[in-house]
Amino acid sequence: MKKYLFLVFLWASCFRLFAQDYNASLFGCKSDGITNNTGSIQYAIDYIAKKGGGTLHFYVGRYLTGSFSLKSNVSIELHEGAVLLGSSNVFDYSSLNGKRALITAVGQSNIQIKGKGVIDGQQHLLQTHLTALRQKGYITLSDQPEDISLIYLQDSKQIQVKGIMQLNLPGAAQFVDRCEDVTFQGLDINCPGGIGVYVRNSNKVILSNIFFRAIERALVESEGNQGLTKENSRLANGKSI
Amino acid sequence: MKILPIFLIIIQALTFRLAVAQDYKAMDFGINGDGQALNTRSIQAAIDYITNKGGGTLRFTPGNYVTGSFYLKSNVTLHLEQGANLLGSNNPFDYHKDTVVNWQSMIYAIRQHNIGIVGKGTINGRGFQTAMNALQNVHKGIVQDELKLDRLREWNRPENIYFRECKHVVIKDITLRDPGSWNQTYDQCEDLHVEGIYVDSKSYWNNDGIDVVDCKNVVIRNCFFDAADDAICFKSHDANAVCENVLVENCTARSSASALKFGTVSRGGFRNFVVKNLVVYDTYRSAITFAAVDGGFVENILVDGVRSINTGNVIFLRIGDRWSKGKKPFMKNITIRNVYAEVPANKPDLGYSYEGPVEDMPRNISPASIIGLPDHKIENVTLENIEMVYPGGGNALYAYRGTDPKSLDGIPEMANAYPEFSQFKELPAWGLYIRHAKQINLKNVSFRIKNTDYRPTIVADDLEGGVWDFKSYLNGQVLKDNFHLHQSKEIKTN
Amino acid sequence: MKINIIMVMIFLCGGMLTLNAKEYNASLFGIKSNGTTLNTTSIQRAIDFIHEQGGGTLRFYVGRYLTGTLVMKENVHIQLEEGAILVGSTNIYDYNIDVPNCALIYANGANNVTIKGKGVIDGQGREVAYTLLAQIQSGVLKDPLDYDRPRNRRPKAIYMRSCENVRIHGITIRNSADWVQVYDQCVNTVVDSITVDSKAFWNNDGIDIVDCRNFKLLNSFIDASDDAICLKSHDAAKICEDVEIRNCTARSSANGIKFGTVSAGGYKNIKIINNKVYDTFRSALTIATPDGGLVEDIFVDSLSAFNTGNPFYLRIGARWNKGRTGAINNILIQNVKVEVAKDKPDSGYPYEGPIEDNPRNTSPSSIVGLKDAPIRNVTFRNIEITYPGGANPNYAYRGTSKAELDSIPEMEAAYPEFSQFKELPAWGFYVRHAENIHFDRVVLKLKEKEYRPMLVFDDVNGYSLSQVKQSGAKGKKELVAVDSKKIKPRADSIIR
Repeated sequence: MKKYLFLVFLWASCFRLFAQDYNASLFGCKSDGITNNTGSIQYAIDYIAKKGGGTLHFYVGRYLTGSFSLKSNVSIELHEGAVLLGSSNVFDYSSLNGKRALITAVGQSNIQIKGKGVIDGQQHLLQTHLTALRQKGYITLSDQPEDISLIYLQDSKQIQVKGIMQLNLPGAAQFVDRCEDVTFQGLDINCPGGIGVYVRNSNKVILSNIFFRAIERALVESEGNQGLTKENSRLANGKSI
Repeated sequence: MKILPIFLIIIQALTFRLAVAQDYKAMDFGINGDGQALNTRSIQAAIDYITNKGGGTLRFTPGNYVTGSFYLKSNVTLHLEQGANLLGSNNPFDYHKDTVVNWQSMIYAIRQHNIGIVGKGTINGRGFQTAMNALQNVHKGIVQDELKLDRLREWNRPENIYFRECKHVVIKDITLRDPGSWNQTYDQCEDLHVEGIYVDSKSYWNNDGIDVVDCKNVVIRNCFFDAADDAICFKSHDANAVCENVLVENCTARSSASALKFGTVSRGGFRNFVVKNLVVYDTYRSAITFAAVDGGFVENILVDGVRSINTGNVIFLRIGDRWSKGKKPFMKNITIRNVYAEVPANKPDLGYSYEGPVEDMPRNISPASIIGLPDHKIENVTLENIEMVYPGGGNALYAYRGTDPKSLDGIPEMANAYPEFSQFKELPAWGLYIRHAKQINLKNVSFRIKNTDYRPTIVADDLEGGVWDFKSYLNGQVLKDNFHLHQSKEIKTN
Repeated sequence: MKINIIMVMIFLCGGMLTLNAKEYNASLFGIKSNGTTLNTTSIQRAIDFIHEQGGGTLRFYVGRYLTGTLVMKENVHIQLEEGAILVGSTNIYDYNIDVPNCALIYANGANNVTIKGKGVIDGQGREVAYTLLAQIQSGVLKDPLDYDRPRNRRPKAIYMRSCENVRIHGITIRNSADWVQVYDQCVNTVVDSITVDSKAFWNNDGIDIVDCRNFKLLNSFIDASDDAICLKSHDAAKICEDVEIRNCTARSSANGIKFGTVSAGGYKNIKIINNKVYDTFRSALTIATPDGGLVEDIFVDSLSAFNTGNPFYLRIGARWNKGRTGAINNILIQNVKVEVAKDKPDSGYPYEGPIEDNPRNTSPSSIVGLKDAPIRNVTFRNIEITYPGGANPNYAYRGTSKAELDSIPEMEAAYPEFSQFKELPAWGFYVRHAENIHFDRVVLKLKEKEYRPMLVFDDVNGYSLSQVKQSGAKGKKELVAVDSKKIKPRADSIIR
């Protein structure tokens, strides 16, 4: 038994050893608000995943990016004052099953997106671009808000999104499909005309302490959900969802 | 009965043209020419859209379009208007390393057909800064590279263009500049047409002007190349493939390496080439280098019309045995005619960015050379209507190679060395040195020097057969006893 | 009679001095204007030569002059003619990074130094900062990273320490990697008619006046991605004294005009007259003394501020005060008009200020002392401030009961910023721990209705309100005063 405990301890300490912290600047991320950091952020996530996991830290500044995909055991921390600025070009949002998204996780686990920072979807610029593309027929993307989202989680588990302020979102703030054990906590969501959280076919999804500053629909529950918990989450008029 | 198939062909040609005629504006896809926005994904989205619609032209109006790696697809042509600049991102992480070619590039096309890049605009890789940034990433420890010669390996730096296994490729009128590695590679492509392009490629190490690798049916015409590495370069990467049926016409080249080169990687071979009206200037190494050092062959080559000014060496033909892996190399049936060449006393590429390296010293001015191996002789080479002007002044106290048997036999074979005209250091002739060859003919060839040289004009060693009609001059005075034969036979001189 | 002779001699000496003040063109020293030749050593040689010759002017005509650190010497004047640009090298090793406060133009103890003309100093700061960062990350240079950015070794554009009679006139300063210009313990300085355009990197303070005596900043335009016009006191034994800031326009992604943050010694007799602030993320005016410094006799007249995040923030803190207690005493602020922005006022500028201290509705002007160190004798006279209002109590709420007011943290050790307390209970002014606060002809306008009262006074030992008005949309009520004492309006607390 003692031996066993020791092994557990060893495993835990190994894990801690590997769960390292990396600053965004190490990978050439620029906080000037105009440099598109997609390549650097994706390389950072892949690199940290390869090294066994850890956290990518963004400090105060504005980090422009297109879509990137999350990997298991790699977390992102947006410290107070850090803004992850979504590109205003819809093609910078990757397409998955006909839906586009800025941050995607497909088949991943054990990820946190946390901190007091901001994710800004630049909704107005993005809408302008989308409208122009639709007029020319250059894009096949419906105008359903859930078809373009900020965070898109599919077939993933143990995902937490905590403390972030989400501004000017393109459509849906988060889209959860076939996931398990997903927590949204302490978010401040400002998404006029959009959806706060869209959940389908998922188990154990928790919404806790979320404030919807402006929203069309705070929560959309589609088919096949089990164990969805809502606690202490309010709309701008003070009503609970 | 016969009419139907012809009719079908006409119809097919028509629809093909109609598809190509469809014009799309880059800006309509949100591709932004402000010099700041990264357009990688929107350019890719536009190309994907056009190819899915059956093809067309993606047109870039004047502006600065920053991008990382993207893929050109079948039936899509990029049209860069004059003033439209496709700029390479300076972030190395914006580039992809394609898994088929295992090399970084800005524009890829892999197994596509009917593709092109045309117009008077520019593709500017901005490769120096990108290479510097990539170097920083290695120093930070987040990217692995062996850093040969203190630089990232060439496959870990982006080229401007890398096309592989494509058919019907047109590259026309554009300017290509400042890549991080080679400029443009066409690898195992068929029907490649390169015309009227301007290449300025001196931003960093390995900046070849154009690399045509194992391609069939190639035309390179009316182009200008200024490159820090080989300017017009044919390669054969695949032992089972060949570079063949090539026309190079009316081109001008400047290089800190060789102007026209076969090799260095030369595993398969090169055959059926016609090179016409080539102008070479300010070039550090050879105007013409044909190297078969990796088991490949060179055959049926005609070079007709070369003007080579201020260029370090005129001709270097070489069989080596570097990465042959048992494959037998050969080089035969080569005609080089109508050549005027001036070789300078000083470094020809002085002052250019990324000058060629001063190496293989001490050495007086090197002669044109035709050098095979004892078991693999260069065969049937004709040099016709050629005038080579050398500075002369070879100083035996500085570097000396005599014509006595011991000295000549003492020249190393260097079979597995990197082939370069200067590799043997001092050679025993000032005009032409031949070794391990068969049937080398000179028709109306003249060699000139301005100062006396301690060496004879021509030295042949292990040459079997040849008809020589040549003269050599010192300041206009005919030189006598101007050649030396060693272990050679059946040479007829006039 | 004797006095006359001395006068004549002084005159003659003066004449000789001007005679000696020769002029030299940059090309004389082989200085190249092609923008690619690194001129550091030749410009430095020119400065040294002119200094050795007894002084004179080094003149740069139109062109780009690339250089690393230049050390100014006594009696050397640099004239940048229109079109001349002194361009900072992007190689970090071209700067004096081994001294504290490395800078493109550096002076220590050099008197009678001038930089003037219509030319430009361009620090290329963003590129410099990135090369420095890469050298740190490659392990070659050591510098701690603050917020993922190098802390100490980013070069300033100008750093002058212990110099007398410095004149900076007419030039434009752009793109510094750190603070733009610092005058530290200088005496008799005039900075006049300059333009600062510096949003190249973090901490781009527009101008830092540190422990200077007799300093004039006049007729200048300053746009900076940190505090625009900033007075500091780094030395507890020194003080910023007799400073005049007049006819300037400031834009900032932090504060328009700021005292602090480092305020070890203090500030005395500061006049801030006829200035404008616009598109500024934090406060139009911040007076902060968190490090034990004394702030006394401050006169602000004719200040207008548009599209700013906050009007006024007066704050005593206890951060690095080492047992000493800071003080703010005798402040007169008059003839002021401010419009507070609803949205982010610096939105779209490079290096915007950070979104922080949320959740929080629009913050009021605040005067916040410490329990045992109240802010004393502050008068606001003839003030008009427009606030956006529209606070949402469901988003952020702070009530006005005594318990709720007491629950606002003191945060004396925190970095002082108008937003630091998050939600505050007033929309117009929040005053806590103060003494003798006078509001005279103060009009506060509200655009959308508020759940909060206009004024909240908590522990204000003596306040007076005369002709204080609210206009526009409705607030909750005008005044909530807790533990506070009303006194009669009185004559000026500062007499000028």
